[in-house]
Amino acid sequence: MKQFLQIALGILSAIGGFVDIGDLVFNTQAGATFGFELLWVVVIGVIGIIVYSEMCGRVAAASKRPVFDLVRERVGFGAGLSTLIASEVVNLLTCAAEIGGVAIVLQLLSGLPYRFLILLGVIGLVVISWVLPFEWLERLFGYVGLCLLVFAVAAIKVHPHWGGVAHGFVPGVSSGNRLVYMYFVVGLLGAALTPYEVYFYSSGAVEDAWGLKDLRINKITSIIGYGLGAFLSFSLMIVAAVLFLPRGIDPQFLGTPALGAEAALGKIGLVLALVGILFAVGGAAIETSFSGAYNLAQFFGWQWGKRHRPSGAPRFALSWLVMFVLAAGIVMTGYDPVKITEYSVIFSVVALPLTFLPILLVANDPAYMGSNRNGRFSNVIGIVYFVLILAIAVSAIPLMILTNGGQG
Amino acid sequence: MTVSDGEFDLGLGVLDHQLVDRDGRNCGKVDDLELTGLSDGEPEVAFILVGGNAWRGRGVLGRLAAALSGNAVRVPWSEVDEVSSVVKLKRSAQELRLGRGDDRAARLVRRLPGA
Amino acid sequence: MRLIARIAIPLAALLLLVACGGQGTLGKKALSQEAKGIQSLAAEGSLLAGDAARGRSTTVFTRVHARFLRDAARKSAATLEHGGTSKAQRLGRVADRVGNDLERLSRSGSDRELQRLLEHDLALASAAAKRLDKSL
Repeated sequence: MKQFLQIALGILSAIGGFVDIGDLVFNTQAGATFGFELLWVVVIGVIGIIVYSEMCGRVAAASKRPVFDLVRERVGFGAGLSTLIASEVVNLLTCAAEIGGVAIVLQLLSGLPYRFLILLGVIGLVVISWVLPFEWLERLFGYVGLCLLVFAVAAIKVHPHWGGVAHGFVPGVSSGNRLVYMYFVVGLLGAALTPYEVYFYSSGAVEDAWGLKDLRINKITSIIGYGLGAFLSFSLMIVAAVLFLPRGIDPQFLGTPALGAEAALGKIGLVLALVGILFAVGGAAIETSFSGAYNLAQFFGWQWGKRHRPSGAPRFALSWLVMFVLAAGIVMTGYDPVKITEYSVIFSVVALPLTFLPILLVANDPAYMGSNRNGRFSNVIGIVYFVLILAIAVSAIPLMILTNGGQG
Repeated sequence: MTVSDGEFDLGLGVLDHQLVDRDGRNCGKVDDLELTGLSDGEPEVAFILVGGNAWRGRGVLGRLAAALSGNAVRVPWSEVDEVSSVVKLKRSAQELRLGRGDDRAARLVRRLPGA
Repeated sequence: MRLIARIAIPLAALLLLVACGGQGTLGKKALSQEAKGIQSLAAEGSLLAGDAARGRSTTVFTRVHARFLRDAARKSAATLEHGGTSKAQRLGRVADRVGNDLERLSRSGSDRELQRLLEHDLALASAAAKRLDKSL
C-alpha cells in the first residue's frame, strides 16, 4: 500500500513538472499553425525523454553517482568541459526564459509592474529553494503544476474533430509550408528532450538516495509520469488547433494559451491555467538553476547537494544563487521571454548531442553499472534517438534562420 | 583495489576521478598526475595535482582553464588510502590543503540566514 | 592601397544607399507578415473582449493581456507608417484602429456593453486585415 502511494505521488509530481515554458510556447504555436498535424512529434519526444531518463535513473541507482559526475571520468577533461560549457549556457538561457515566464504570469494575475515581478519572482524562488528540502521542492511544484490538467479538460470541451486528432498521431508531411513544419518538428523535440531535466533527475536520484531496489518503482514512475505529462502537451496543441487556427491567431504571448483555457472553460479555466503555468514554469526555473549548479560542482569535484546545509556545500549553493541572479539579469534587460524561450530551445537542440552522448556512454559502462548496464533494447532505442538528435542538432539553426523563427 | 595492489591503468583508473577525504567530503578531482622514474623505465605516481594550473597538460581547453587559475595543490601519492570508483585519501581535506574553495565560499555563505 | 579605396568607397556608398533606400518601402512579403500580424492581434483581442463581455474573464487578465496586444499593434502601426505604399498606409490605419480598440478594452473594466462593441469591431478589423493581405 505504501509503495502504491509512493508511486502515485511520484507520478503526480512528474506530470505536474512535465511542462515548462518551452513546451507551452512550442506546443501552442504548433497547434495554431498546423492544427493536429504535429501530435506525433510529441509522442516521439516523450519516448525519447523516458528512455534517457530511465538511463540516468539507473546510472544513479547502480553507481550511486549522478550521470554528470561521471562524465569527466568517462570522456576526459576536454570533452567533459565542452559538455559543461554547452550545458551551462543552455541552462542559463532556459532559466532566464522560465523566470521571465514567472514574471509574466504574475503580471497576468496581479497587474503589478513587470520588472518588479521579476525581482519578486526570483526572490520567491530563491527563498523557496533555500528553505525547502529537496523532496518538498519536487512535490510543491509538481502538485500545483497539476492545475495544468485544466488544458486536458479544455481540449475535450472544445470538441475537436477526433478523427483529425487521431490522424495527427500518424507521422506525415504537412499540407502547409514544409520548412516551417520542420522547424516545429525540431522545436517540439527540443522542448521535450531537455538535458537539464535528465541531469536534474539523475542528481535528484542521488539526493533521494536511490538504491537498486528502488529502481523498479522509479522506472514505473518516470514512464507513467512522463507519459501522462505528454497528455498536457497534446492538450495544449489541441486547444490551440481548435480555438486559434481557424481565427488566424498566432500565439505570441504567454497569456494566449491561458486565453484558450478561458475561452473553453471561463474564469475558472483561466485561473487554473495561470496558476498551473506559474508553478510549472517556476519549478522549471528551479530545476535549471540547480541543474547548472549540479553540473559545475560535479565537474570540478566540489561538495554538492541540497541534502547538505548550504554551508556544507557552499560553492554549490553559491552556484545556483548566481545562476538565478544572472538569469534574472538577462530578463531584466527587457527581452521578450517568449523570444528568449525560442532561442533557448533551439540552442538546446544544437547542444543535444554533446549533452546526451555522455549519458549513453556512461549507462553502457560496466565499470559503473555492473550488470545493470544498458540491455540491447535500451541501446537500440538510445542509439536511434541519438541519430535523430544529431539530425535535428544540425538542422536547428538553419531552419530557425530560413523560417525567421517559425514565421515563414 | 588498494594502492598496494600493484599496477593499474593510470589513464582510466585514477585520472579525473573524484577525490574524497577521510571524512567522506568531496575535495576535487584528480586533475593531473606527476610521475617519477620515467627515465628508469619504472614510472610511478609521485603526486596528484588538483586544481589551478594542473589543467595545463589536459588539452587546449585545459590550457585555457589553467591560464585563468592559480597554482595547483600537490598531494603526495602516499596520502592515497584506496582507489575504487573514487580516490579515497587518508587524511582530511583541510590537512591536505584541498577543498579550500569550499572553505572560502563557506565563510561567505555562513553570513546568510539559515545556512 | 589607393586602388582598394577607389573600389571600397563607392561600394560602401552604394550599399549605404541601398540600405537606407530599402528601409523606406516595405516589400510585399514584409507587408503580408504585418497584415497577418494585425489580423492575429485583432482576432485575439476580439476573443478576449467577447469573453470579458460574458463575464468569463478576470478584469486584471483582460487589462494586462489587452495591453500586450495593444503594444504589439502599435508597434506594427509605427512600422507601417513608414511603409511608403498606399497599401501600407491602409494597413496602418487598420493597425491604428486595432490599437485604439485594444487600449479601450484594457480600460473597459466591467463595462460589458463596451466590451461587446469592441469584440465586434475587432472582428471587423481582423477581417479587414485579412482582405488586405489577400489583395497583396
